Amino acid sequence: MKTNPLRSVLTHLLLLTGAFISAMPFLWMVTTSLKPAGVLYQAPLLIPTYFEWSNYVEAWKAAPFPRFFLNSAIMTIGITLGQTLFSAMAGYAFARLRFPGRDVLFFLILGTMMIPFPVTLIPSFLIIADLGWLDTYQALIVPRVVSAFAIFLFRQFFLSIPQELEEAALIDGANRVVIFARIILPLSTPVMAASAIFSFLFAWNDFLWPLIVTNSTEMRPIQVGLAFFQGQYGIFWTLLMAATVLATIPAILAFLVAQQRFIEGITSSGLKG
Amino acid sequence: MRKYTPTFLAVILFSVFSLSLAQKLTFWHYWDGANGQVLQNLIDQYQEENPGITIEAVFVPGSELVSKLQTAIAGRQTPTMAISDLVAMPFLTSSGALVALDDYISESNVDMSDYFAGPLVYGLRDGKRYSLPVSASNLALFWNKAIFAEAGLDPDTPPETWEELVEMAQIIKEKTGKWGYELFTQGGEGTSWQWQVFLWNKGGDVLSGDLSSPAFNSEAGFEALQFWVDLIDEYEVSTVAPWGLFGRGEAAMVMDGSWMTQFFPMQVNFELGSAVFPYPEGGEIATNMGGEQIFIFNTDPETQQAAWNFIEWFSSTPVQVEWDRGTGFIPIKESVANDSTYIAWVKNARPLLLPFVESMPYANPRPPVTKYPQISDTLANYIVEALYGRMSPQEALNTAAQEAAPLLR
Repeated sequence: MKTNPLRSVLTHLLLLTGAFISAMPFLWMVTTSLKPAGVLYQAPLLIPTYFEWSNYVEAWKAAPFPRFFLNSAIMTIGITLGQTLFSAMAGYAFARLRFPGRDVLFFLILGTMMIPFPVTLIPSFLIIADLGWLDTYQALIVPRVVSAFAIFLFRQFFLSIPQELEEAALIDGANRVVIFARIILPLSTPVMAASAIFSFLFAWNDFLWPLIVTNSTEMRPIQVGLAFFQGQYGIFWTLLMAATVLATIPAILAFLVAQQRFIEGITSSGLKG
Repeated sequence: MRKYTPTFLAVILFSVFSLSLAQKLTFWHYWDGANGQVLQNLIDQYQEENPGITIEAVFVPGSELVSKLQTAIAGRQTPTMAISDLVAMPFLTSSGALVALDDYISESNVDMSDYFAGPLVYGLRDGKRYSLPVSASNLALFWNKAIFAEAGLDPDTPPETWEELVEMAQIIKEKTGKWGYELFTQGGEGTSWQWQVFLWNKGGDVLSGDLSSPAFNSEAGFEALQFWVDLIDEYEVSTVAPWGLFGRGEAAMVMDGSWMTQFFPMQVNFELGSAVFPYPEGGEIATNMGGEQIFIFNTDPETQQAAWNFIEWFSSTPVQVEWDRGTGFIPIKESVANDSTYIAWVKNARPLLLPFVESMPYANPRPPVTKYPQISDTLANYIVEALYGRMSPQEALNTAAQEAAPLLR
């Protein structure tokens, strides 16, 4: 089929508009982070014309950011690994194993997605307090290593893997654990990447729970740290944006890496995407 | 070895004794940045003067402090003491987790008459006092001297009355095309607490004296809201627009808070002045007020006493002078506001702050009721209805009062 040049131009115009809309908040953030405070509200808003790098230095010095980054990294890696592993295991059980009450249980787990977080906030806090876990990494990680959404994602993906692959392995004498680890997981790179990126972004951006269960500055993750610039009486926009740019970089990197794996996963799994 | 034993025992006894004296207090607050640093310096000073006492100050973002206190109260994981925005005090005193301070106050002979009356309205429940004010902020007039000069007005003479405000705003609109006065028209607490100043200017009040019913739908209220509507429709010197016209140099006057004496000079590139907010001829000077209150959570008597000792020190006039100089907060006590070092500091370092300090005796409290946030939201919604011309001021305030009344039962 021959491509119509006009159509191609229109498609690209549409794509460019979409890209601009997605990039706009980032441009605004970067531009603001490089402005002196006095010209905060003055145009241009999206193209940096000032280069006040001292904002970054000042923001970095305003709070113990290396520690915040470390805490965020530990929390995010813990949650991402946990959610991916446990959700894959649960998703596999719901997709392949036969046990009484399986579907009821699955829908109950799905149903928990409809309960808003503030409802479970205080009960969860009480459990953590009873365990003596306040202000620890356990409190930041353990309550969040399962995710109903990720379980759903894995179950749906596993259902699309042909039964025949597993039956062949069964005949060769493999048990469930071997099948899961050696056959199913290697085929599941795309869904693992998808689930991991959701977990990563959730964990990296989470604010309220880490704030509630930590009391010392040493235990706080980056998002809580950013609140240092959002005062009760005024927001230090240039510093806040400089710190936010720094806090956003790992998330953007994670997205780029996972996106690549995502595409690789589809092309190499031998399944029709 | 033997002959050392008594000394050894004494050392052990002494260390056990001083260990029991060593006390660690935790203090949750939302004073960020430079203000947090001023607090930390004061705490360091206190710790030096009181060996054995350690105070761990924990910063909690202001927007989440109440949620964090709420979970902490439910989980019995409260800090020793904390501060809160005064609007949250009715909720906190109703939690049952706070210590009544009356006995401590009378034992320490704290002169309560030295405090400005406004902030003391908070923290009371069933005749007992559960919190003390530690800082204040309030509202006054800011004006853009460049626009005043451009319009041919004296850049150093702000309006003193509503009538002068209208007159000057009209000249500005005519000569420069810029807005004369910026109203907060986006609803919520921003609209509500600014409008309350106009209500008090006219001699009205938000709730009845016993806090049992809305009182803003009075003659004073109708006139105050009519004035806002007139600024837009009749005099055409204000507009319904997102907040920020004054900061961008598009409006000549605005009502804003004492904290902006710190932020405006950093954010704007024109010269500005501040003044006590204008009042109507025959009306009253008034302002609204924010600020923080400090309180102690129920623990054991020794810890509570140690927390009180710190609060007593922190509230003392010399420390408050240092605190207000460092933070730019408005004094909560007359002895601080009249302190010669404090006044000298304001005049030299922060002259924009002076009208705010002078306004403090005229600062009215927002009603200290648990449901204030909902009442305020309702009020603001109907004020906006009137500004858009969808309801008359009478209709708007009467409807707001009808909807707010059940919240007070």
